[in-house]
This record gives sequence, C-alpha cells and structure tokens, in this order.
Amino acid sequence: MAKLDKIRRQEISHTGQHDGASPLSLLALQRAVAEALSAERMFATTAPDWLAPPALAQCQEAKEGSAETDSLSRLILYRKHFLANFRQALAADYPVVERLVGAEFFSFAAHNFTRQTPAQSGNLNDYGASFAAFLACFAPAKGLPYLADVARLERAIVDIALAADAPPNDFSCLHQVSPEAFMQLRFTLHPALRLIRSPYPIRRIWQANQASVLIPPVIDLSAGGDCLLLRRQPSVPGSGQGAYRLELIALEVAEYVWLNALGEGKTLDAASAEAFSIEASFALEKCLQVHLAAQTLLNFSGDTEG
Amino acid sequence: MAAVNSCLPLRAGIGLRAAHYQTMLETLPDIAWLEIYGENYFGAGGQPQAVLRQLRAHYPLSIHCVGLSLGSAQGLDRAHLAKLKTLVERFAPAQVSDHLSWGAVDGRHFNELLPLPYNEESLALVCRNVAISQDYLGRRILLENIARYLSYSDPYSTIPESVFLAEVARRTGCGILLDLNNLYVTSRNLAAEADPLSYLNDLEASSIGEIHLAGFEEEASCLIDTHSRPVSPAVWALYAQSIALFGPVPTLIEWDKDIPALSVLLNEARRADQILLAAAQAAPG
Repeated sequence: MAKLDKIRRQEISHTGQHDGASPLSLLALQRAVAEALSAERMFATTAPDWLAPPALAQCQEAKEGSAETDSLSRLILYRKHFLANFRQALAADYPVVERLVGAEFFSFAAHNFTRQTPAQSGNLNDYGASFAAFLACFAPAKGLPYLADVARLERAIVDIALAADAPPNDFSCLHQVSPEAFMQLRFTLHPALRLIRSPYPIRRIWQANQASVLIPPVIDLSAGGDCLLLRRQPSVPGSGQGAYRLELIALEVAEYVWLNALGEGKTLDAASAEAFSIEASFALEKCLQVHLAAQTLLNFSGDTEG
Repeated sequence: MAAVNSCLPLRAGIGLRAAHYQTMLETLPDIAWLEIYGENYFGAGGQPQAVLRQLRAHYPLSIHCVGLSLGSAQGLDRAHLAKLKTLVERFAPAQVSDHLSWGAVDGRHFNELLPLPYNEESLALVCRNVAISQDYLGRRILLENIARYLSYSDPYSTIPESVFLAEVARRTGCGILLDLNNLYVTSRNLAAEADPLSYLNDLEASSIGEIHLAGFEEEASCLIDTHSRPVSPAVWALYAQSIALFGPVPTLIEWDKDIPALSVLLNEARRADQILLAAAQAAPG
C-alpha cells in the first residue's frame, strides 16, 4: 500500500509535467496494439511512443540496431506468435488439407484466412470453423476443387469429437404407435454424428492422405461422389477409457437424403417421400431398423397414442 | 484475509494433456493434483469430458483458463465466462485461474496473452473484471503474472507488476498464481523490471494460491515462455527462494509443446515436492 501511494504521488507529479499530447486511454492503446499485430507487414521503422525499449542487457548482447528497432522487433515477435498459433490451430484440425496442398501453401492459405477472419472467441479451439467456406472461394486453391469438401469432412470430425454425449435411445414404446401416426413421427439425430455429401470421392481422398499412408494411391476424381455418415463410437464398448473411434459410413444417396431430412426435423412421411423420389426401391423399413439400432436416431416425438 | 493456498494440496501437480490421457487412466500415478486448460473442456461432451470425469474421482483439480481476457478495456466476454461456470459446476475444482493480460478488442480475439500497461486506469479495469468474474462464478479466482516480451513506455506503465498484482488481490480478494518462469523470463526480457527477489517481496504470502513452473526457449534475444523444456536451473533457484519466503504453495509443472513422456513430468513434480516437503518439515508446527 505504502509503495502504491508513493507511486501515485510520482504519477501525479509526472503527469503534471507531461506537456505533450495526452496518453492514449487503455482502450485506444489496445486498439493501437491490435492494429500493429494485424498489420499485413510492419511498415513503421520507428516504434510507437507507447512501446518501451526492451532490456538493455539484451540489446547489448544482440548488438544489432538501436534500442528502438529492438522494441519494434518485440511487436513483430507477438505478431509472429499469434499468426503461428492460428496456423497451428488450423493445421491440427485440417491435417489432410495440409497434406494435400503442402505445408507452404497451407501457411499461405492460413495466413489469408486469418487476415479475413479474425477469431471471435477467446477459445482457440473454436477457430477455423469457416475454413472450408474460405477454401471454396480461395482462388489460388481452385485447381483442387475437392479441397473445400475435404475441409468440411475434417471440420465435421472436429465437431463430432466434442459433441454432446447422449444416453442410449429407448424405442420400446415405438411399436405401440399406429401405422398412420407412425409416419407422422419426427426423429432427432445423435448429436455426435454429421452427414456430408460431396460430388468428389472425399472419403477415399481422406483415407489415402492419412499420416500413416506413406504414398497415397491415385484417386479417380470422376469415380463419383460420396454421401457420408460420420459418427463417434466408443473404441471398446463399455471399456470406460474415454477413447472414441471415428466411423465413416458410406450411404446410398436415398438413405443420405432420408437421414438429412429427418435431421432437419421433417416427419418420417416427408423424409421418406424425399428418399423414394430419389430411389423408388428405397428400403425404408431396413433403414429404420439399422439406424434405430445404431443410435443414429436418438429420440422421436409425435402422437404416440395413435 | 484468509489464505487461499489451503484449497489444493501443498504439493506438486502436473498439467493434464491429451497426449497423456491413456497413461494417466491406466496408471493413476502418484501425483497430488491435476490442472487442465479450461477452454479445452468447453465442448459439450466427448473424450476430454469423459477422461476428466474419471480422473477427477482420483485427483483434486485446478481449472486454468487463457481466454477470459481479464484486462480487456471493453470488459468480459460473458459467453466465455458462462462456459467456465458450467465447467466449474461440473467438476468442482479446488482452484480457478486466468491471467493478468488482455486478448481481445472490438470483438477481435488474438488468443494471445497480451501485456497490459500498469497504471491507475488498468488497475481499476482489472479489479472490475476480476470482481465480476468472482461474483458470477461465486468463488475466488487466481490471477497469474504472464511472460512479457514488451512493456509500455512512461507514462503508460507507472506501477510495477508486483505492486499491481498485490493491489488487485487486496481490492478484489482474488489470489495470485505466481508463475516463476514468467517472472524470470520477463525480468530478463525487459529493462524496466525489478529483480525477481524484490518482486516476491512485494507479494503477501497469504495471497499466493499456486505457483507455476515451466521451461522457456530463446528467440531473437528474447526469452519465450514456450512450456517446451524442463524447468531451468535459474527458475528452480527462484522457486527455492519463493518457498523459503512464502512457505509451501501448491506447485504446477506445465508442459505444452514437445510434450515428453508422463514420467518426465512426474520427475519434475517430484523435484518440486522435495523442496515443498523440506520447507514443510522446517516450518514450526
């Protein structure tokens, strides 16, 4: 306390003597730092007046330039670190995209993305959700038309990993529903699954470009697209070790359309109509059984009294 | 004021990292407590939550955050604070902490621990943000000194960091998370900083809730708090001096980059434990 009081007296006498422009408020100062960190390049050759020179001992050791350029170099260091953090966060979530384009191009794309898309959360894990949308419009990547869809696949994997847990479904009362009421039921999908459709064979591209594959095989892009169901499954049922494995299941188009419609909250009737319009022989009963058993469908709502 | 260091065991803990999930679950090693990065457990479910649920049954927990941005002039991100509260309610930690830093302005986040100027305006601001956080969480938090690579010129920074921290603790009742690696790194990087020993003398022993130890690297004549190395001899020496001054304090070994085998962390923790034990035996009663 005594120490702070002494400092206060010095501060008052100091500000009394300070006849230049008033110092920036904290908010203005934080904006100035933010601007310096976000600048595409450090054009300034003189450090801003709010930046103090670094340790004298360090400058003498370094023996390069003046204390002023050394204080600028500290700003550049922060900028470098924050860009590297974002690049690293993106690389952790999009390893296959990085492998497909190479580290150098990935850095270039990540840097452009970071400039266009400032982080909106204090949680770095949230960063990069819109990277696929960015890549879809990123002109230098247009030679790889499947890249954005691979990025969507990788983001889905990230989202699934941290999605909510859900208790096993209980459809024991489903058989009591009358056939007419049955088709009016709505289902919710398990939170730890995602549906992805692409005109490109993204499943094979993704599998062929895992770190464990030394030399990826050639993939025929004209071989047709993918309808995928991705979901999180316990690695060993009942092991309780908290580990999960990822399941990538290839779906028929009609089955994909059906699940997607159910996921959008459409009735079983409406979702099935969409599936039948794609494939007249759509096996509704079998799909229903499979996805009830696999916990794809978690809950249902509707008039169960029928 | 009541001591805050009674919440965690007065022993060494380690940071729980995903790379060690399996070994931790399989071996349940002899370590007094664990610390997590809160933000890594903000998700709704999945492996991090499942692992933590199991380990929490065996170890006291400290939740350490990097994203509250307690020094942001525009105030706190309530959504972030709400997620932390959910986590705190779910896992009942012994301590909750974040940094004396800022990381966001005008809705743009840098996800970096950026240094504050230390003056009357920033002191009032940090006290307000800490008080709001403590009220919202319904508990005391710890405030950590960051590693700084730059400082602000006169008249922006007028208060030494140690005096600033002690004053925030006095006004808000928060505790201090004393990061000795950060203290060492900052004192080497910046000319205007007091020597670490006089820094320690500015702090009240009763306000120190936790100590952090980690390793640093050097880049462009600047020491960087990378958490990628064993604790340096200079920081171990500073640690021994701190424990002599403050008595035993719960102490964390942090390692975030180039993460080694769990046994390496446990050995570092054992070394801290020996210093803590010796201090406890030397203390009367």
